[in-house]
Amino acid sequence: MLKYLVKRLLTLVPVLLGVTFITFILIDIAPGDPAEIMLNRRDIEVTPENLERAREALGLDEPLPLRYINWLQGAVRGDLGTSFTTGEPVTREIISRLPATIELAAGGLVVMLALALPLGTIAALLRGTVGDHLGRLTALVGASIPSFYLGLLLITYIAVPTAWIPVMGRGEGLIGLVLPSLTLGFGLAATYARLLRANLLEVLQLDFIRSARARGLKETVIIGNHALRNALIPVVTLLGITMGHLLGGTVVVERIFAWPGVGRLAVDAIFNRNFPVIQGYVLLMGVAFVFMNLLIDLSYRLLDPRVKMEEGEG
Amino acid sequence: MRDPLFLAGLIMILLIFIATMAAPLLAPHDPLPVSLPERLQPAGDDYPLGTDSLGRCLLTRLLYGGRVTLQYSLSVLVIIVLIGVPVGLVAGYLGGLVDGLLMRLADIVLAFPNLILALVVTGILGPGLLNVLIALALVSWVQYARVVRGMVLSLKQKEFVLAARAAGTSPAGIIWDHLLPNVLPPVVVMATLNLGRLVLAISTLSFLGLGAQPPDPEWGAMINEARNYIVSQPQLMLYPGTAIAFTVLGFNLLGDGLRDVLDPQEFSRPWIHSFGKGGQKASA
Repeated sequence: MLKYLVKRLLTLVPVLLGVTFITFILIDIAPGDPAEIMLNRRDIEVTPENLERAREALGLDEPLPLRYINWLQGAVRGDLGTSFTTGEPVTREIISRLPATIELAAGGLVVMLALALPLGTIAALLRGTVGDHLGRLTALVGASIPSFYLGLLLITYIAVPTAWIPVMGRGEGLIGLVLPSLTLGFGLAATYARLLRANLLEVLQLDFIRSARARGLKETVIIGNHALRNALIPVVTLLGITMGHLLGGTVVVERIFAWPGVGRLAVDAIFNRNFPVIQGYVLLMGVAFVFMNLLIDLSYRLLDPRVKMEEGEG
Repeated sequence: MRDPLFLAGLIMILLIFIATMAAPLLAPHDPLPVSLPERLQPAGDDYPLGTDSLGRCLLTRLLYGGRVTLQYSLSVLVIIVLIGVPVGLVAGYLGGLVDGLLMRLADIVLAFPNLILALVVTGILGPGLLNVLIALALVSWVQYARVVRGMVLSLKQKEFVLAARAAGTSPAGIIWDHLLPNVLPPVVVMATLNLGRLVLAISTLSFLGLGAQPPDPEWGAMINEARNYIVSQPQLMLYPGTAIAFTVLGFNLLGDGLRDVLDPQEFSRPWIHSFGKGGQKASA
């Protein structure tokens, strides 16, 4: 296991290099001269002299590979350059916004699991009954509502009329987190509950479940110990993809609820063509997502011994 | 095919397709011209659903907006299935260096959450639906490759694959005859459900201002335009929002119904084994 972990951590290095290089090239091929954009954003007159100074400050005179290496050296030290608009270090701007996004993502994940795990299991147990069909319909409708629409509906029909839940921004304790978390987690929960139900049903038909039944084990033991553990394998794999939806979802939710997280920072940066901030944001998301996927791969191996044997042979 | 929910999904999708594709025939007005004196009109004889904040017929824009969303969603889907499935099959079965290289590539592409890469790529290339299409295709194919590879990893441990290998069947033969038929049913389900997700992604990016550009109608963009009126004129967001949910629900019902019909686990083993020569059953 330790050997596998070290091996995986080493393979992360080229992945992270790839991620950062792609970011760098994307920014480089973007239309517009970064030096000119920076001067415009800071309300500095665009003269040849100022332009020259800005190009020098941004290191734009160097060839692309050298600029990448310089940027990389900075990134390793935690220096991602300065924002075009504020002149603040990008690292500081991102770090100051990060807690809000982590809070929101955690809230969304809690909502998702709290809804999906019980609903998915119950639907599988009640298979074929009215309850199962109702649960299925609810899950399907839930997965079909776009999060930005759900957020606006919650604001219009719950927050505004009742006036007891703050609509915009963060900072009124946990109550302010309720609507954004619901908006983020609701659609994901619906998808997840359905996955769990389908996988549980598959597992319940396998031979070892039948033999467990034949051995006279209690139904609760069979579900809890045997079926759920096996149904979790594909669900855990798909968690990797869901993580992307979760992180991507924060962008939309932060925009609707004026939530001061990194997603809003990034959208603002995109509309301002604030390249250093975009670069920093992509790097952050890339790193976060790569590590989440590694964690998921590891748990996948813990759950399914067959995969471990396969890797051990190769 | 006696599943009522599946039938409901089929009917919903047919309705949406007919309504949006026939928009030029059905729509009572032109979707683009602005008419400020007629802004925010209630529903009436002339405007069946009323007008928006720029005095344009809401019904007309709904019909044209759906066309845009559906056309782009279908285009993205075709591209990503044609790339993702072969890559997953080959990587999963051959393993080794090929698998390692493909999966590292997948790791790099997957290192960007879908919506975030789409956001950044369209943000850099400039907002617009074509750039949204490029970005979504670039990131989405990897999901298929990964899921197919995962299925192949467990399938290749199964007796019927081991037997075929022992009998000297070539890797290409095993992939074509034994693996593809077994991964196809889940892929069909995934693709149908994915259409719903693509509709969501395209409307979300348009809502953020990165997809369809004004004055072009698109459901997400229409909701964005309605944001300042959600309390006083909620119908401006309710119609396009419900249209998106209705379409996505239709695709989800279809996909869910197909899952029950096509899911191999629900059928006896011999049926799967003979499935190799009869791939057309997947589309039945």
